[in-house]
Amino acid sequence: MTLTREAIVEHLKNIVGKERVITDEQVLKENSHDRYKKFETIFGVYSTPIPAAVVKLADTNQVSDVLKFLNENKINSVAKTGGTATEGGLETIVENSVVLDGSQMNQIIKIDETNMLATAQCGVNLGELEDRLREQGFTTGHSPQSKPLAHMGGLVATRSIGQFSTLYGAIEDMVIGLEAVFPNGEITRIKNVPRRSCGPDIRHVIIGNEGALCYITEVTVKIYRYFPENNEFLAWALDDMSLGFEVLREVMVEGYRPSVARLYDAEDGVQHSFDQFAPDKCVLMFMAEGNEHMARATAQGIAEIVEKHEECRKIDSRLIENWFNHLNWGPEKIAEERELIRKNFHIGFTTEVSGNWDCINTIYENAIKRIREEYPHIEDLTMLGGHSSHSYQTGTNLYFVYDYDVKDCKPEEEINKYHIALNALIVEETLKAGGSMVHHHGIGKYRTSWTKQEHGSAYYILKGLKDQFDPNGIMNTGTIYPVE
Amino acid sequence: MKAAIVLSFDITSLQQQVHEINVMLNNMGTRFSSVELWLFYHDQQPEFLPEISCPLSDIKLIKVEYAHSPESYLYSLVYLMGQYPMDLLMFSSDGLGEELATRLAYRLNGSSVLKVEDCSLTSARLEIIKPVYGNNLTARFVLESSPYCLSVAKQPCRPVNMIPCELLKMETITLDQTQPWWVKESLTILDQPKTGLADADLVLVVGQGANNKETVDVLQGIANTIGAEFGASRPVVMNAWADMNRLIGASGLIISPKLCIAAGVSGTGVFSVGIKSSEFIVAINIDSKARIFQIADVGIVGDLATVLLELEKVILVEKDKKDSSHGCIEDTTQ
Amino acid sequence: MKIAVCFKIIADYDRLSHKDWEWDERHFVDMSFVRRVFNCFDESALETSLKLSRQLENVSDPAELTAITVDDGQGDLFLKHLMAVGYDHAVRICCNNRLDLRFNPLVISHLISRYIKQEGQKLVVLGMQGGEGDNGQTGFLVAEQLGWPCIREVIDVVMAESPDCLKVKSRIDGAILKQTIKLPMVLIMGHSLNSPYLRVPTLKQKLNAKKKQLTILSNIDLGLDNEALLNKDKTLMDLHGQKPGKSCAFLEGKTAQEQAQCLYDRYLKERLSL
Repeated sequence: MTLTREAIVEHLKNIVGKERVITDEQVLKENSHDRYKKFETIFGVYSTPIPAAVVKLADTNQVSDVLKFLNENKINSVAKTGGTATEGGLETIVENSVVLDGSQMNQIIKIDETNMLATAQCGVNLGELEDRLREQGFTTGHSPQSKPLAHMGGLVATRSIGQFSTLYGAIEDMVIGLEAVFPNGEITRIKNVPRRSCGPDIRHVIIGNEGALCYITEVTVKIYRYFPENNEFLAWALDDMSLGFEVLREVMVEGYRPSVARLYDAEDGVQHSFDQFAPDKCVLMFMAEGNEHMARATAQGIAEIVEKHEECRKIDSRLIENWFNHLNWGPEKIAEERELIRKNFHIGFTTEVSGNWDCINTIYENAIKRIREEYPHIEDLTMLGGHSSHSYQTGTNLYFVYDYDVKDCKPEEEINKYHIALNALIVEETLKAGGSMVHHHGIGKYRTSWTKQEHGSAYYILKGLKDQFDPNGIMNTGTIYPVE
Repeated sequence: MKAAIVLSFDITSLQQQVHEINVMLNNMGTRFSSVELWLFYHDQQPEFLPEISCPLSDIKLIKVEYAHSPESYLYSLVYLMGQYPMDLLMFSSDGLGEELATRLAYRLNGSSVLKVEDCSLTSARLEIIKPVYGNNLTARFVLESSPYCLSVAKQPCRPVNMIPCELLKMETITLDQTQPWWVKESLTILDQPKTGLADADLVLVVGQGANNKETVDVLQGIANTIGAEFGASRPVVMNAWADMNRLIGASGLIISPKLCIAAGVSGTGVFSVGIKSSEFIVAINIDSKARIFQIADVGIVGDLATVLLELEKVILVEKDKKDSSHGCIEDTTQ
Repeated sequence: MKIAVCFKIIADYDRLSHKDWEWDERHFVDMSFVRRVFNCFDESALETSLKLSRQLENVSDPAELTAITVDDGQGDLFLKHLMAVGYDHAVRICCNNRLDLRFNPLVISHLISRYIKQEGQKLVVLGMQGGEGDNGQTGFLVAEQLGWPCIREVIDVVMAESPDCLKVKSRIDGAILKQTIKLPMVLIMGHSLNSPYLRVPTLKQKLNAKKKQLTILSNIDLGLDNEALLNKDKTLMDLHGQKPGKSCAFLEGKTAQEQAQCLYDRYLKERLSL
């Protein structure tokens, strides 16, 4: 028998105390969505079902008690910390869902300089952790644009990646140990060891689960020495993306690991004011970081490779440095964005994918071509471009960026007319060419129709995890796993 | 050097404008050979005058028929300069003062400059200092041609007193003025009333870090509770999250409260000039590197809404304690 | 109706840190590594004029919009952008780039008013201040040189019933002034809540603008030789930076509650009269 909304709220109050159960209507509305639906929510339209309650969790035991209750009563839960998700992962699509907010579990538990480890609860803001570490000469190396706002729980749940990943790796390379709670209330702790061969690496069941398998309560990441004084920026302007990908590949394959390696096309470059110094050109940029010898050797080595290509024209590195230092999402940038959207019915989104070196340019060209030729509302677009920002030995990612005027449609229709439609074209071309449909934002709820195609026969393994850990289907329904 | 101060009696901020002129006069320290006041009025002839800090050799009252037309003032000023040539004219810091200073200097081939913070006369050279580069720097200039027409910089609010007119020193000048033929219709609507920001002891100023109108409304409520006046930075006002009469900064109000809490404000040059004369500044911002911390006495790195809600609670508790302890004292005396 | 909107591109000062404010022997601050933006008042002027021109689309004398800037070349991108959002003409007036025009609104206004006299616009709109000099005078001086009426602190302009007039709303002491003014006139834009930002062009509009030409004129083309561009009005002696900042005491405290309590106990209690 399904519990009523009121009954759910009562039960939750009994478990965690009434001051921890929020039922204020505006708060519930804000917690029904994430940045995927930013357009309609800015206009006060909340088309997703409103959750029954937001629970502000105090500690791991409370997480366990609440999950047990939800599991017994088959009530959908959505795990949330910083709320910067962009793919619908935080949408409460099932009636009377409960949002499990871990943002008050915000203690930095320990910074261990000998073992180079930092342990933080799921509600610790990454920016705060990073500031604290930097005071002591360390860094996590993790710097997504959402750093000022994102929390550790969400960053691990989405397999996030930061701006310096080409050197430091992505979150899965940084996580050493974890604590997570499963739907049946089981509290599991994975200890901090440098490496082991004791069965498969079970951290990977938790990292990237997007709240569909368990609730992350604590994270331990490795930390690095921080040498910002050795940072060196390098940038070049060039004519086309295919050359850019080629040069990027050469740098990576040669073994260099700059912390930043990016390639912007001319259209995407305009929104960053790159056209002020490289009009109609692609921009290829790197930042070398690390101890003095390594940073210098990296910078020199990269310059040698790039300058072999005559088509690359050097850009004053101060321009890139100044731009880079102002890139993060503060609350001010987000607020500015909201007002522009509200006033002008104008909005922008991204779809980011990945591919091996041999298909990435194909993905880029085909996706853009398809949008230009087939998307019925191309006239409404004010920007369509892309950039690569995370490179590997074997390939790179690709961020498609698109802005448009929302014309002749209600706020809640925007998503189908524009966002989902554009997303679909890009995903299709990416999968066709053999790439992956999501590089680091997580599948969320809007690419689940391609989850099986993405994983192919390996979907069997992914599905097995869901069957084992969430047989009652209470963990963030609609995320990763398509609703059958 | 002969100087005249040019003001309009009917401006609501007249007493503050005179304070700003007094600041300039006091900074200059130089004695002019004489200083006159040229005071425009529209309706009633003034019976009280704002207290100017230097002795005035003469006060000329000039009736202006078309109060919203700068041409009327300019026409009169050109006439006055013809009859009573001055070397230096000092204008108010408001839009009218700036327009008159600029346009009059042009008509008389003199040098004009606006937002003058400091002015000095050294061996027959007139030097001024004014803000440049978005209030991030100041520049010192020598003005080349007299008459020098200066519009003074805005200052924190310290309006001067009004004193009765010394009738003997005053003369009234009435000139025939042509109606501005280009104005077909004219209507004045009273704008938002002045807030208490200019002379409040405690001010809460909120910036774009507040995120949205709903939060700004909450913060305005907190300001009321703790007894603070509420101000806002330009982005907040331009987003219509707060009224224009709450704008703090170079193009808004300059305030100097005993205590200023700047929350969610990044601290640009044009904003900071609005609060930097405060006695004590507390800054709250989620970004530890925000520029606002460079002018703050105390800083909190954190979410402004959360911190301010907690501060409101703390202050309310203290208020309750004080109120109830007063109650006890009353009881024992009974 | 021919309309001219004058704008100035400035460096985004918010992206400069304290140590970047240095200058050379000519008192120039190097801001070559910072992006450029429209100054906010000019941006309102540009957007307001676009809105006005849309109103005038179907009248007997439809609007013809020209954007003008006095600039050494960095403004070209912005001029192209303006053509993409709907400006019919985009003009850059360039001068010998060794000349310091930062604090010389007199010369800037001469260049503008000569252009206007040549081209015959009936409405000139400018932002109230901007640029490195923050002079705030160019608009007034243009009005003087053209001999036209001038309205300052304009917040909105719309068409009037009569085709040779415009309805102008501006801010004056404690009030909003609504006037119907006969053309020609100079309008100086203040804080405009209606038009805080310039609109964004579509891909198609940007593509079309690429094919359009900018008009580049020099001071000589406008009848002003280099001698006439010297600043005879005032001489820059030096620049000064901000006084050294206070050292800010950051409050510890793990929670907002702790921070608020600490703030009150240590600093506010004595300063607040409750």
